[in-house]
Amino acid sequence: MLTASLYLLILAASAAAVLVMAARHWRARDEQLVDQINALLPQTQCAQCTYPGCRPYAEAIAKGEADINQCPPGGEAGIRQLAALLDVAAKPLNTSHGEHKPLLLAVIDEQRCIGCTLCIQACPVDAIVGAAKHMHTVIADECTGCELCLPPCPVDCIDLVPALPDGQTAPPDYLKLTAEARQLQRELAA
Amino acid sequence: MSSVPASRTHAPGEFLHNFHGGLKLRHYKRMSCLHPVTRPPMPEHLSLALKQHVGDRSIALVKPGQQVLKGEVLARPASGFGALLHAPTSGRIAAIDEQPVISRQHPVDTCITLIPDDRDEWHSDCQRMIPDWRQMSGEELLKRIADAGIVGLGGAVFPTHRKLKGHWAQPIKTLILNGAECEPYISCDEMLMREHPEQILLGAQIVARTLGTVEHIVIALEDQMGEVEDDFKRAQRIVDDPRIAICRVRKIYPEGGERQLIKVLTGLEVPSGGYPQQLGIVCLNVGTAWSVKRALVDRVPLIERYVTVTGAVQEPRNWLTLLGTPVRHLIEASGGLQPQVNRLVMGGPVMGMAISDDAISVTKGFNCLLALRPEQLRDPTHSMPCINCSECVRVCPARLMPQLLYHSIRTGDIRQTSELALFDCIECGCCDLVCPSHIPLTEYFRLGKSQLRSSLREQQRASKSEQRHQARNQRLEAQQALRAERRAARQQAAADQQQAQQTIAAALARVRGKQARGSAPQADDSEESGA
Repeated sequence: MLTASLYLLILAASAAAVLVMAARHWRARDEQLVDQINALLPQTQCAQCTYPGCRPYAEAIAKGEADINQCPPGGEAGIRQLAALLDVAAKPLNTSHGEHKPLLLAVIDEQRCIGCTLCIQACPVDAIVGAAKHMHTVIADECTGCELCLPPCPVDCIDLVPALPDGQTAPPDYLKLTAEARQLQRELAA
Repeated sequence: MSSVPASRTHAPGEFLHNFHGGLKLRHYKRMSCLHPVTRPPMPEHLSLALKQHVGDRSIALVKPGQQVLKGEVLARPASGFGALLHAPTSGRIAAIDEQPVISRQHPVDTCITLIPDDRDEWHSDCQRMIPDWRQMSGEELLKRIADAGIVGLGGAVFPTHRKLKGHWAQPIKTLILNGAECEPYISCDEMLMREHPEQILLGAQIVARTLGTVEHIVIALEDQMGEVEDDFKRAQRIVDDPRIAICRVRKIYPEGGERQLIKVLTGLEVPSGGYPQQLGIVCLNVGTAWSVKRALVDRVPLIERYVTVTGAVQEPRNWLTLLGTPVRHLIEASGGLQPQVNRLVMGGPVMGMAISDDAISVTKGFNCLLALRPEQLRDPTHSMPCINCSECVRVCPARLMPQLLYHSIRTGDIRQTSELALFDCIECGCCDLVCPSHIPLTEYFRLGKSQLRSSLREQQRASKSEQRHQARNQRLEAQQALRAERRAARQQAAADQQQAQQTIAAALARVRGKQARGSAPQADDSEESGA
């Protein structure tokens, strides 16, 4: 009797331990999944997917709350990658969230800007600099072209232009580019 | 990277190793080696591309209409990374404008047009006496190599002073001079080695002094260059340096590639994405060594080089050509083209680049001009589907899997191309040559590399914006927390004040109550209330 209950107790304890460990393991996997999904999203932070940023959208996908076709900046290529990662069928972009466009860059017409700071508050990546009643401007390297600065502007002085206008920047050096890209590859892998 | 300990027991070049893959190709070199090398007549104009090196773009230091002297600096790189460009002869700058150049990225680039005045007058900088190189320090030698605008003449056009500079984990003990000119038709290095073996050895000694720690100087020749080896043996007796070893390697294309040659001579493999310097090795083309000698002993900057003109021309031969000489001029000097030529190529038949215009001129990396007839060209429309025969895997000297790379580039799976180490492709074209379906694999790999580069840039941009977004969220949260704290503090202060007022009011009320109660009888009470 005593031996039997002891065995049962040990069995129950080991089962509990296994379950606790499994729970921890799966939770870690969930976070990894969010990271993996997040890495495939374009990080424009444009909120067109109805979530307030790319990471929240990744979390929603991981939980199964959101579909994989809600990201217009990622476009069809992004959906394909998400589908491959999650092992589901790719589907066309849900255009109710917007159309896929090439990478854009916000430009403030500095003549018209009245320095209201509303766009600075709207920018999700702090790519606009300026102060109250002083001209604002966009840091071109940091802008993700999310268009979130457009609605708050009271004087409509912000335009979106294609990020790399043809023929404006000289094509950079091939070998140097490869070296840089290799460096990036290492950094991203680390 | 597999460091082979066995090879440590051999000096570099003493024992020949093998590299993976490669092909035996026919030579076609003899036809251009029949005439001694001379200079072609001075062309009517020289057209010098501003960018003839790896690195930053150069800025022109001269203006149209200006008179320049031979050896005067015409352009310098915008930052430290690059090479100077010198005037190949004296004359007048006619124009600085966009002209067709040889490049895979852009068909036109800024060029300086120089009209020679036929006086060939040297600039004073090139006539000044310089001390003997044996008296100079490594730093000084390095500066003079940089001042001479020397770049790797084997085709990579990497600035030589950058290659020789820098601190590496290991001291550079081995200097390899690459005379293994493995691509068919090209013979400019062979002719240079036949004509100036002592000068090349002298250049190698100068480079060795610049590096400071060199113990072995290996001259790598090809199997069939027996005459050249004899010339070098003779030169070796004159130069008399125990570090120098002459070594003939087997003729397998592309054994003249830097990584392949290092593998053959030392058994060591240059790590993926790494440099030979990490293994304590520097590899230079023989032409580069010759240019170093000319710069340090004859005070001549890099203004001319050996160029092979071969293939379907009337008189195939090598010329000692001034930089900027138009291709058309070289063809005329070689007796003109044979009939039916429909393709001009810079470089060899495997890795060369087609030239769109015979007005294009010779640059520092221009080793060979090859004229081809239609029957020597492959029909680009003839490619068939991949049958997974894996012939390309067998011949790939970088040990990649070209057929898998091809599939992932075709399907746009950029992540996969990165995992298959696309950047390690040396674009040698072996896979192209053996492919039974005639798929232009190397072209695909070039395309894939550019896609991979832009994808990696995109990823970097994305991770940067993510970081900025997170930073902003943290800032906003901190601000909100601060605001909430302040509000709480204000509320607390207001509550405290109210409490205090209530206490005072209560006290006053008590007093008034007492006063009201004891208004009539005793005087003691009124005194008490006043206290």
